[in-house]
Amino acid sequence: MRGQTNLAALVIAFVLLTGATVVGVTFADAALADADRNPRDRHAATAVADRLVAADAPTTVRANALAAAAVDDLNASQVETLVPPAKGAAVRITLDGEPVVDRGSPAGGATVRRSVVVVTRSEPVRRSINASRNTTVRVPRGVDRAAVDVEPASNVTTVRANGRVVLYDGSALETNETVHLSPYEPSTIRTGTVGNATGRVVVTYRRPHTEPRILTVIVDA
Amino acid sequence: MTDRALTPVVGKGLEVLLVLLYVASLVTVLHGGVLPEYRTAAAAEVSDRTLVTAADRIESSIPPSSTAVDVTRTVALPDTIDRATYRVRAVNGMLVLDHPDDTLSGRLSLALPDRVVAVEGTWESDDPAVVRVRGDANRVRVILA
Repeated sequence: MRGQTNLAALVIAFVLLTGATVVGVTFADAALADADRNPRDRHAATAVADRLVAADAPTTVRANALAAAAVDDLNASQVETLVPPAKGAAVRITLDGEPVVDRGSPAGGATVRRSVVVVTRSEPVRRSINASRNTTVRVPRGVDRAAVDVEPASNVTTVRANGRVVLYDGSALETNETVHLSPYEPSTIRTGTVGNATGRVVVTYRRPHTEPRILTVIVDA
Repeated sequence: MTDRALTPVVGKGLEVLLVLLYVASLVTVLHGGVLPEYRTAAAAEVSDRTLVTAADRIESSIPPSSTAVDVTRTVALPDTIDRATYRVRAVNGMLVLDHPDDTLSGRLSLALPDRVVAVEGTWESDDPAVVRVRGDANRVRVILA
């Protein structure tokens, strides 16, 4: 085997080439493992967060404003009904770190955060209008609805909020209705009467109190 | 010693043989084991993401409650997954991806408001995919076309 030094060079070349291939495959493996993103977890977490803060969700008073009472009552099965992608998954929902819903223990999974306000309503505030003296009631800004209770036989035909007619009956009102008010300005409630008005009109409302919070949703399917 | 003239010929022949063998074995190993595995892993990931992207797109095309809803949006889907065309169908509030390869098929629940009464239709991966939302304040239909 004289003069076959080329063979030795060839074998070394093969060894180097094999080494390069192995290194390449190792890098490709690592890249592929890194690319595993769990899009389903992310979809479920985004869906839960979006559905919870949507304007038409049972947990909100408007978009991105959670109703404190509804949030307190929230449980995992309600979340599942509201958001089918969360079915069977480990879910943790917190408001500024305080747990709201905690089912299973999500190890990893996807996390989604939303900036929300939590609206708490105060105890009912009662104000009455003396129909015979035409007094008015001023409802503060931020109140979007109020209950108006007109006593029977008070001869009140009209109830106005900032001049807008909210209740009317030509032959005297006798009702207990919820009326919608503009939350963007204070509302003045006054009555219109026919003949000799007597008795009272009671206006009841709850003042909303809002607090900014961070809603965190973790879902691990 | 006339044989001595053969030495370089045998040597070169041996080298050529070795190179061919090496290349053949490398191709066999890569195409036989590593590449199909990567292809499947990548295809599974693409399939998952396609399904989730399509679902996201459908969910975000539902506008806030309003008296008349008329929304048309295009959805970008990959033409093929693992070199095969596939279909995306809506069945019972779920989005189903039908792929010739069962391991690349999948299903995903859609998160839609209560006023969405129906989601129906089918997308073919090699046709333009459009989502249409029609309805009013109380009833909204979602059509995949």
